[in-house]
Amino acid sequence: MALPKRIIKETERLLADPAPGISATSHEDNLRYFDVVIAGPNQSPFQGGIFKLELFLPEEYPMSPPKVRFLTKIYHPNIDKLGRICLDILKDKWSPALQIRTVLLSVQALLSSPNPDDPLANDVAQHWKENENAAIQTAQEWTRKYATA
Amino acid sequence: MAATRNLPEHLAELADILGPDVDVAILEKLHVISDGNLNRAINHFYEGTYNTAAIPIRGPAQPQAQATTSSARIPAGQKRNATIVNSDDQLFTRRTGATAQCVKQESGTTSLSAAAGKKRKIQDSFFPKYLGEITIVAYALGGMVKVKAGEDVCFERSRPNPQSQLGRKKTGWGAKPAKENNVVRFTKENGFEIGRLHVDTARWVSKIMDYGLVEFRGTIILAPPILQTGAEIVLTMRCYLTAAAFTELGSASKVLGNSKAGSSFAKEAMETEDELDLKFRKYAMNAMFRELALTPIATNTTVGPRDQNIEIFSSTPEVTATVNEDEEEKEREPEVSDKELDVLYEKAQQHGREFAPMDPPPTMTYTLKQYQRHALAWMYHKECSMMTEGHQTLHPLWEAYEFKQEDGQDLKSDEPRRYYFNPYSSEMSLEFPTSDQLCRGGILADEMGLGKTIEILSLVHSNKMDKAELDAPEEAFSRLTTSSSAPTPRRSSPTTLIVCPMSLISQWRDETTNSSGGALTVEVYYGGARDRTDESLLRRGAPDVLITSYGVVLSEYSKLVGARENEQSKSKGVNDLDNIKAQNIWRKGSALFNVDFHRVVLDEAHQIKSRLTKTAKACYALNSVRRWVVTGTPVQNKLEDLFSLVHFLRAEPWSNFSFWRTFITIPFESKDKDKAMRVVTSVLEPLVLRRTKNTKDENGDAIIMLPERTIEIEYLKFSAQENDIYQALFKDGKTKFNHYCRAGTVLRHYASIFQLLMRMRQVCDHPLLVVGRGGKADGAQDLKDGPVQLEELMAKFSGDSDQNDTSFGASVLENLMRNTEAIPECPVCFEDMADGVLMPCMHAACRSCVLDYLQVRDDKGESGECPICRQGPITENDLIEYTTSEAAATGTRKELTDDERSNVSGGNVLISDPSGNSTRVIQMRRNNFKSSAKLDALMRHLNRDRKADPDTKAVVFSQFTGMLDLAGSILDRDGFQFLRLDGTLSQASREQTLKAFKDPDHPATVMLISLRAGGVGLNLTAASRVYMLDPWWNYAIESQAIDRVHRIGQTKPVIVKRFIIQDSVEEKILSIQNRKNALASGLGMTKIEAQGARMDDLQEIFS
Repeated sequence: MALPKRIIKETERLLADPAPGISATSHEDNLRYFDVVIAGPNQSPFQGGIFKLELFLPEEYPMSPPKVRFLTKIYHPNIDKLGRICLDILKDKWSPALQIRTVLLSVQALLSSPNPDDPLANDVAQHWKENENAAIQTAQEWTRKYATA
Repeated sequence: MAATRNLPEHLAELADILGPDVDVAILEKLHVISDGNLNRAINHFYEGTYNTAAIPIRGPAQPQAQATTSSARIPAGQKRNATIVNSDDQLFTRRTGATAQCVKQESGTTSLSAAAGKKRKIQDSFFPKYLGEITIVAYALGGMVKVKAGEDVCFERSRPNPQSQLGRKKTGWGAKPAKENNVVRFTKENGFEIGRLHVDTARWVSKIMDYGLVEFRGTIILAPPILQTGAEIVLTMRCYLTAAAFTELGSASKVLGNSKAGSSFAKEAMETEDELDLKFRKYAMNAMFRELALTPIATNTTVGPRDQNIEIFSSTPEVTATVNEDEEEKEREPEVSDKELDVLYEKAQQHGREFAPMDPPPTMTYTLKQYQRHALAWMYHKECSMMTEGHQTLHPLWEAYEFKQEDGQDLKSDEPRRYYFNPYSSEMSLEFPTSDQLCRGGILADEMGLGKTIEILSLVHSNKMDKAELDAPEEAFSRLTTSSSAPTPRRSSPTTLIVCPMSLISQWRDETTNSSGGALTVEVYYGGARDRTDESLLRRGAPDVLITSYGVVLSEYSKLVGARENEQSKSKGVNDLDNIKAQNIWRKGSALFNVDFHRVVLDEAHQIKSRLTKTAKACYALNSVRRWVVTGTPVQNKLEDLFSLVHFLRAEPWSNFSFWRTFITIPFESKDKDKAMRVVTSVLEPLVLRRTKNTKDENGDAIIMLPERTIEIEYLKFSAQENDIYQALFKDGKTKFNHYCRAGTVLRHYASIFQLLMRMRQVCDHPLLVVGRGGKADGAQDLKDGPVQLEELMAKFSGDSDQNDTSFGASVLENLMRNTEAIPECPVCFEDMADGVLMPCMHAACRSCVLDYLQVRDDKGESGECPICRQGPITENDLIEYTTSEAAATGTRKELTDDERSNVSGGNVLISDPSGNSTRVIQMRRNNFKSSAKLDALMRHLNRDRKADPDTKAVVFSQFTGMLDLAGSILDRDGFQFLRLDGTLSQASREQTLKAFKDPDHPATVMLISLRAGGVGLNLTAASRVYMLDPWWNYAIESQAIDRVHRIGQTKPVIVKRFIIQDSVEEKILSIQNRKNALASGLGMTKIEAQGARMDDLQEIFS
């Protein structure tokens, strides 16, 4: 199955014109598989962190969304222990007009504004709701612990 | 009862014997025909021959048949020879008051005058003329008769009994007729029957007697003193030709013998009863000549060894049975395979080489290619060589014989010493049959694209009419004008008449003009411009070339025939006024037929391939000595296709249908193909010149180099929706077909099966073609509400609205208009948005991407929305298609295709930039046009072609005009400008269309052609791409269409794509095509053709 032109174009553009704080490179042996690095946004508990993710474009892409997962441990109410992300555009709000870049930007934005009302990691969300400062502190610790080189 | 009947005395005795139930009239008749002889009367009664005796049984076409009698009487005073003359008829006639016209043929007066063309007046006493004698063995019937050697006897036919006669008439060819009555009796001079001829002799003697061609007189040589039943009697039988034998056969059968154009005013030329009769006659005459051991003193050797020929020819005495088979065979007459055709044409390619290549006179402005100069040399030779031959040669079909002298009698010096016999038609003549009417012409069968038109024109230039000839009276064909009224004396015209299909008229005219630079005058005789009178064609000022169509020839011919019929009724004094009118028509309307043209050329002459069509007959009736037939395919399916051409050419002997059947058709059918092919080759060899694109010249180089041609079949798949529709139709069809099969009524429902097939084929093109009744009408219906809503939409987005979201819409439109360079990228597939659609939110994406997304959402049970802004819900019908193009071009296109537009799309909205300085125009239309697999494939290719080279021109063929409509709308959608050629165009607009397509400056790059309208003759070399949307039953038709593009003048490689839907009827059509036994003639097929053998094909299709 030849690689759709769209994927090639997206890959090229991600390389040529990367979004700030985001890098994505595809594997040479599997052009649908991307190594992604997202820098923790400023003014967020994740500032200073370098987060690794994996991104996979399924066969049906762009009619179905890419699969994205954090590889780096992260303390975030919408991201679980396995790195799975709770983000609507990765599920039912996906649209073929979205791209890898927009997906990753959304993930980046998710880091800036955690949403404990729509949790994936329930314990983290609980923590966030009951004591936001403590939760942020934990997040900062995790960032230092796991997300710095 | 008998006692109560008041019978005349002479009948009483007969009535006593035959019983009381016999009608008086019959008794009277019996009495009459038996000449009062009681025994014979009884014989007649029980044989049932009295009904037919002396009553014409063969219809008026065989007057000679009536010359024989059922009985013979020895005329008083004629002691030495018993003769079979018709005095008995006279008797009969006088007594019964029957019509007088069936008597007295033996005097020869009537038949002589009928023997038109044999102008010499021969004295009545010349007949019967001694031919020869033969010793035969007969057997006695027994009884009381005593005979002795030296006694004269007369021969007498016993008539076929009424049952067999009835059987033959009623059942036609269908059933085997009752056993033939061949009985020939011989009687004493006083009428007592002695015996009968042996059956071998009787078989031919009986026929000849039936036709009254020969009188037989007999003398007993040896007989036993007492005649017992079956005793052998040796007789001398002397044969005397009657005048009837010299009656021209043309009056009896129109296709036979020297039948010339004039005779084709006659009835159907089927193998009718007339022809059947002639078969018998031929057989009998040839048998007689053989038995009499007559040998010709001269023959024309061109036909080959006569004996062999005659053997084949005469070896069918059981003709009745043969005829039955013939009829059946006609229906499934084998077609000629390509390989066989190759053999046929092999020799024809060599022609012209034997003559030095010839250049046309300087009046011809074209330079001929080498092979064309060869062709000119050959044609020139064909026309001229015959004319220079001074001495008369015997007609190839005829043989010359010398009259033998009957012992003791001298031939009178003033009487003819020779007679001529045509063993193939059994005609006889006292006139020398010359071959100077042999055809001066032939079949120019060069493959399409080799420039046949130019070759013919070079001939027109090279061989013009001599002035002397213009003034000389033409007598060669005076025989043709056998009209009962005084025929208008026909004169030669210096004009070359060219008959071609209507679509080619302009091409001929232009080529003629272009080739001559004014040296040739040319006129078109067509439509309203038919004011030519025959007089004007005779004058010096007559055009060199007159071009007309088959239709015109046919219509004038029909008028002419009508007028003739009227004239005939006039002679019976019916309606004077009508007749005056009719006569005027016949004078006025027959300019084509009142003139002997210098030359007649039939272009695309396979139009007359069926000899039974009126068009063919009309063409036969055109008069000229130089007759040419131009066709790329002289044999389309059957060898008999060729016959019609040869018949038009009047190429003896092959223009004789019976001859043709005997030597060619029948051997070909009866698996003696090789022989038939050999004969055909020898027929064709002198007549046909055929070169193909592959023909090599003397040096082994191809005579013509055409760019490469690739034909590819592209297999397509139905979309799910299309497949549903197709499968539904297919199942329906299959059910019906199987039902018909079981009921055994397939043939009866042929039409409806074809309807089914047709619909299946149409669905392969586009479901719209069959959905609903008109298909096309439905589509138009759907489109109708498009523009209104669209306009509303446009109004909504027109920019001066104060709604926020509309400003985006306005900017989109603006963008589309301004953004002249880059084609926007589809946000979904990232490709160039070639077929973009706008969603109601004015976001754009590829049509297919949007549709895919809508489908995905639909699968999930969600309503459609814009992939970009998620505005929804939207459906497929909300999409607006748009294309952008240059304004100037669009303007032109609009002018050109207004007609098409009005009945196809109707959904266009043109938006021009209000600033007025942009050349961009956006066309938008609602996306309610459903494409199909075929159309998608077509557009894919066309878009690709256009991308590669915007000047690429393409021809799109379909056999369904509805499909052309749909293709037109999708072309519109994608901004292709196109032309269209179909059967509805008038001649003028056809010309215009073709011209426009040729014009490199014309914006149209696509030509839509209906396969049937565009198959013939057109020159479409401007295109280099051919798309065949659907397969035809017979690939030859498609191939011919392709050759319109791939022909001389083509400079680019030609790529042909044939679209075939996988797993559909189309694939099966392909395999049928490959087998080439096909429902070949497709929809044009006649009932007869359709029957029988096609079952296999149908079964395959519905398997």
